[in-house]
Amino acid sequence: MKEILRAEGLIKKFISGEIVVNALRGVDFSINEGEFVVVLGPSGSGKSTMLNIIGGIETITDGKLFYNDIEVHKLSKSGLTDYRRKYVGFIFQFYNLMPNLTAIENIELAAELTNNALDPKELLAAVGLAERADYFPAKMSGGQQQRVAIARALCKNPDLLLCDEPTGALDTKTGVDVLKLLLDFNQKYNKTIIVVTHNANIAYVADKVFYFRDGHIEKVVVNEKPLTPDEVEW
Amino acid sequence: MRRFFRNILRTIGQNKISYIGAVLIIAMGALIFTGMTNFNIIFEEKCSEYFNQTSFADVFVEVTSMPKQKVSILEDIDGIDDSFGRLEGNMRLLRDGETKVITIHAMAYSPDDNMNKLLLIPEPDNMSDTDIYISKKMCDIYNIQSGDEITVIANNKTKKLTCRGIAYSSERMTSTADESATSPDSSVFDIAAMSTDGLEKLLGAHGEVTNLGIKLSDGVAYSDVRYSIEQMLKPYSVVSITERKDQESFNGVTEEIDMYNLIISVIPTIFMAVTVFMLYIVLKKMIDKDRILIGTMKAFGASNMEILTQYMKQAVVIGIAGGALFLIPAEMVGKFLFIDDAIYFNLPDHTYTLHISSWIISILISLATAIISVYLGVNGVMKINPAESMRAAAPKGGSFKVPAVLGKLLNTRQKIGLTSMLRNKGRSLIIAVAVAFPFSCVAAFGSYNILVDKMVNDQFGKIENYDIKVKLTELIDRNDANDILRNMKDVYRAEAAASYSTLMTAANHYEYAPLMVLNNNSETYRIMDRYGKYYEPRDDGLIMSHHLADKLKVKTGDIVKIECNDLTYTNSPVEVPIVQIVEDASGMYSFINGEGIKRYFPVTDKVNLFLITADPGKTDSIKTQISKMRSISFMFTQVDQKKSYAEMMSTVVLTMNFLAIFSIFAGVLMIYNIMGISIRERKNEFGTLMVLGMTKPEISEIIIFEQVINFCFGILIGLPWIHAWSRIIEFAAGSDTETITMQIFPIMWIAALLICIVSTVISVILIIRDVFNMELTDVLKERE
Repeated sequence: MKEILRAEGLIKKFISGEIVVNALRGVDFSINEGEFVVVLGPSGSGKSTMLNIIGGIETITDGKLFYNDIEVHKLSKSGLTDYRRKYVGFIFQFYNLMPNLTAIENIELAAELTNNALDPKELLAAVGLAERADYFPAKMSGGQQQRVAIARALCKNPDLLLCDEPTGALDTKTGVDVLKLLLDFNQKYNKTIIVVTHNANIAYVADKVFYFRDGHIEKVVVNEKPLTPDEVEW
Repeated sequence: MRRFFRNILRTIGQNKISYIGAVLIIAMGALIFTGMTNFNIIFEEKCSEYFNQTSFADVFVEVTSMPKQKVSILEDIDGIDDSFGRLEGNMRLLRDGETKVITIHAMAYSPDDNMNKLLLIPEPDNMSDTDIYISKKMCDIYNIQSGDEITVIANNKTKKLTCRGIAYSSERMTSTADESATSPDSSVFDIAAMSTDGLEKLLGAHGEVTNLGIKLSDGVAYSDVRYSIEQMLKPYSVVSITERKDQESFNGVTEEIDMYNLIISVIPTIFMAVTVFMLYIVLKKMIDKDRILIGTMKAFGASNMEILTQYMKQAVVIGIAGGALFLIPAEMVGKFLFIDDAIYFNLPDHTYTLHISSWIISILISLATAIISVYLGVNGVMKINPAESMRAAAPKGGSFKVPAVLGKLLNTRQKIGLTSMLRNKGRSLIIAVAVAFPFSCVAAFGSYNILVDKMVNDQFGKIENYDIKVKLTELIDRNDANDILRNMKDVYRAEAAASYSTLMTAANHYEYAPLMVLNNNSETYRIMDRYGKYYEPRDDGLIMSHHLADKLKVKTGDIVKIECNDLTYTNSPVEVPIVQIVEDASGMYSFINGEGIKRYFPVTDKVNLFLITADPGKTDSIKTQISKMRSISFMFTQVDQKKSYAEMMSTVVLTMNFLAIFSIFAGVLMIYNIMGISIRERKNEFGTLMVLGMTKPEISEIIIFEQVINFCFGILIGLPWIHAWSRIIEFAAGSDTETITMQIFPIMWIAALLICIVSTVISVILIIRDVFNMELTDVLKERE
């Protein structure tokens, strides 16, 4: 499989006055196209920081990050915007939907940012919310909002889908449904997905698992035979 | 709960621009309110003190002449407690090289005066017959110092007098020469004081008085004694009888105070109301951001009262800071306006005293606003249960969808902007109000200044279109007058006319008002209404100013009785019909032509006014010729009249300018603060758009599109506001003798628009910069 992402010695320091927080202390990894990667680790271990750096919403203090041939660490602000626009999809723990746009409008918004967008209505139907198309986010449950957020992320047809605690705010059943959606997208379109989570069970469905501790990857586990969500005991 | 309060303080620290903006907004309202209130309180106090200090009379009578010892016979009338007589008379001041005709209205002074006392500074120990005290304004204009010798002509004799100081008279706080003068002008007419003996000798009027003062018994009205006074004084040729409220000086001050009372009760109140509303919006929005925090505290078991108390501390700080911040500038504004008015009204005491009561009122209003705003904000969140308050509030805008037709015209960003605006109508409306307020204030208040210029130019360009107006000491035959004018050099155009000081009566209403005898097809003095329509004087009756008609309660076709020593020798009133009432801008005149005078009055057509237009550059030549003539009472130049007319309006103009300037500051603050808050509360939204890959220009387009629409909406709702402000200004600045017809001049439309555009552009630039400076990762950590 073709390598899509490669990190070499990623270092990220947050400096606040005299306090320096070493969020990443030299992270190296490689992710292939179409892989479903799960990042596990305790709070403050640096996993979300790494996700943000991959997504181009956080800059690197030192090190290198390559997305295919793009040297992400060298990109300017506008270069990062272009990178996010073309290649990256984001799913957040708290959904971050546009409060003034309905479910379908939120997805259409993403569709209008790219030239090879998927059909918003089909995606909304695919996440099981066709009948909620005209609902505002505030009128929807957390699971429904997260499904809209997934549809919005997928709509851009990104090569790289980054998910920060996508099931963190959801109940188990809804969380499993969301996970199935992500896996379905991963398999159907051969898209690379990176999921940051506290939920160790999600690791069973991943192709590759990064274990983070104290700002570096403690170990990488490759699942030769990932389970389906239904096979995992939640 | 100290930690909770600390959190509130830190929140303020993180949003200091919004909070500083809130404090400044309310401080602006407090500034206008306190400054103008104090000005009026102090002006009223000083005037009242002045009238009391000088034992201001209840009734004022001017007679041609009366023996001094006869004055006390007035006290025989039931209802009159005290009487007083004073000799007054005009004399001409001669100044080397001066071509103006300068008239001093000399008033006899005695330390024993019991009424309408003159104030002389320094107070004289022993006044000689040649000592004179002159008004401060005239001394300033001609640089006359104490000890300077001046030359006057009185009773056809030239006399040297020595200036000993400044004279103030509460009877003549503004000194208008006579009925032919449009406004007070101390360069041609003002008061002076001399010892009674000195003035009697100078005027050759031994033991005579011309001006009387009367004090009425408690509970007695002027109308109760008026007839008796008239009858008793008939042998002495009464020129005028006026009660206190209509006395020129008292009436001028009262109108000024009333006008400011009205201005103060309306304009600063509206200013304060708008700033109060804005403060409420700002604070409520800031508290709305604490929704989750409040929910969390409630979930922890904090009581509503405990939470409310902490926010109330914040309200108290903002309220007191807002109310107190600009108290010093407010006092400066108040003092500036007071000094301007004190100079105009010749008040002897210019001491501006601080009024703590208005400070307290200002702080209390500000405090109450902050407390109510915070209470409403916190209470709104506390009403819902803790779980709900920890979730984002649902948009209340409803289900607006961009119509298909419009959808085709707009791109995605514009559709997002439009949808966001229309689904958050409250937010859009607030921004529009923030634009509408400065737009309407600048356009309306700024236009007043230009309007006054226009009124001056209309009065002295379209109505009175001459270079020099000359008032003669006596009426002369029209043919003789024309001969004099024909023999003058450097005259381009000249006309003779007449003005009479008359008493007009209709039913129970009476008014002392000038009757102008004008020429048909005149090019120097025309009758014009405030809409620019001209009228020709008629011979079949009076054309009357609507101000005078309102006072007399008459309409076209009614009859007025006219009394005037120069027109009705027998003192029996002459009845004249009103043929037209004119909606003019200022003055209380009535007009007739020479034929009309001959038709209704038992006199020939005589004149006492020269209206002269000089050949180009020859005004001084005419002034020199006139100043050498003996039978001249007054000479008014167009330039001086314009200046004095503008001075008369200056305090109101200053006030309107202040309001316009402060509305600019308040507007800039409001626009920036309200727009900023509205955008900042959507940080998460913009952060998400940026994460989705929206570029800076695209996000800027959303913000700009929204703000352009809000701006346009603001301008639209500003239009009826301008209309409302205009009516308020007309109502407040108008008087019995002035009708203000507000119009918004193109330059002020443009200025108001530009100020709002610049404020909005700067605000949008700063807001966009703020949006792009935010840390995406921090924003995305926040829940919506």
